[in-house]
Amino acid sequence: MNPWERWVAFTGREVDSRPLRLVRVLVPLCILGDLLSSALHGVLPQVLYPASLGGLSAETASWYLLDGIGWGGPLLFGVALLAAPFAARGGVGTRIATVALLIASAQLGHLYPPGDRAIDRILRTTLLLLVFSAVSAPRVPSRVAAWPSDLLRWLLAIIYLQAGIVKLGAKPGWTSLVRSDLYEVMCNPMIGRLDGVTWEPLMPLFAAGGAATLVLELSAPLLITRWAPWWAMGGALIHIGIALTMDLGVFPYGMLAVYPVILGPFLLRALDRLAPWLPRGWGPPDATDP
Amino acid sequence: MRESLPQLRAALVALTGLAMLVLGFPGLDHLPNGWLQDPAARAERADRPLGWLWLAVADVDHHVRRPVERALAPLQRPLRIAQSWSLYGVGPNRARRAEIRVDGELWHRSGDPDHRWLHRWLRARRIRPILVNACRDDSPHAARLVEAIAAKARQRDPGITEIELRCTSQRWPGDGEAKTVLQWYAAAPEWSARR
Repeated sequence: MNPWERWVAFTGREVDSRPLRLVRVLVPLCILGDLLSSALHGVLPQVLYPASLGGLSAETASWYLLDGIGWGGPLLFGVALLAAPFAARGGVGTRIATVALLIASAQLGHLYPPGDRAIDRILRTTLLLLVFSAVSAPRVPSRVAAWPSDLLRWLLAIIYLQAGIVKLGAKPGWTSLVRSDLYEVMCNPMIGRLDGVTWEPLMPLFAAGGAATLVLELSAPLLITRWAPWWAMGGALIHIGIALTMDLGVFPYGMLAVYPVILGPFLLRALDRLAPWLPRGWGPPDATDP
Repeated sequence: MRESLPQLRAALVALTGLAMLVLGFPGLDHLPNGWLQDPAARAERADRPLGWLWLAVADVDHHVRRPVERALAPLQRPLRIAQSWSLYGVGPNRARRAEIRVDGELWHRSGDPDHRWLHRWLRARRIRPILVNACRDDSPHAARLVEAIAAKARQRDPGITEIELRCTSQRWPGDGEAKTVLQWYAAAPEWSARR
């Protein structure tokens, strides 16, 4: 085979559909959870109203489609956001539901640009890839083409590598024993949950954590190799740490929602063992595939 | 037709992966538009150590990444999927806090367990970026934030006459003298925000 034929075979190879199906379930749930979290924090009036009706954003992006109908626009997109995850989970019109979720999430981003962050773009990119995947088909086969999973791994590798490279320019630095950037981030009074005075004596711990973070992020190209599941263990620890020590909202959960594609074999083994307690279709492919 | 579908899919996957790499290439999205394209700036940079490397980076950004970004803008902008990732790179070099004072009384202070009024609202991930950037004097939404805080304070106590959003900065670990870096006010009867 020449290189092009090998590439065609590689992108068309089939893999177990369960990791991608899990992403398809978890990403909409994260978006839904984020919206509910906004409601619980009491911020919906500020972020769902357009600027013309007293929303917090000084301006609404030009791509917002429903500026002319006042509060009806956010209501419509809010309902779409709430309904789409359930439609997607039910397998009814999954592809349409995924597109609706993607558009509704993007529209709310246009409505309120200052609150639309990198994690929203990551989740929407994931949704866009899922739209074209066989896991969004009405009847999901037990094995699907691997390319959406491969592109998600590629995306994660780029994102983590970028984060690692940017950290190299930090001063005094993530490995500094004087004042690690990890300490500054986690003890930042406006974002972190740790108290700077209490935790300062443990600076070597932060320096070690900073070094581990750097090593992990700079080794992100491993995500496109067979070592990805092992890398994912470290990545998951970072995100659990972020969830425990910082108020970054949906960010750690949204990132973990994409992890099934990199946990691959570990996840499949766990699903196989849990098969008796899981809904039909989540067990080993041989047992459930018609 | 069906025989050519795998070929088409392979080509599209390759193009998508390449576009993701070019658009999200580490470091490039932090460069200003037209960086190192001026002949004088290029000549000056070329004389520095590793100057050739910086010029190559600038050329990749100017001649490859930005044209790809422009070409894909009709897809990226409406769906808000810009492939530019600015995750946490550096920590703040000083401990910055936001304080809310109502008629001179401290109601809220970032990270202060004794002054937590509006804590959950200000920490919500869609509000916090405005507050953080307001304290860096870098948010076009700061005035609206101050007016929204004033409205919430009036809901709690309709008799108040003035609120102040004060941003402070301290040397780490954050227990020394606080320097005031920014102040916003809103006062009765208009309650419009002013510096």
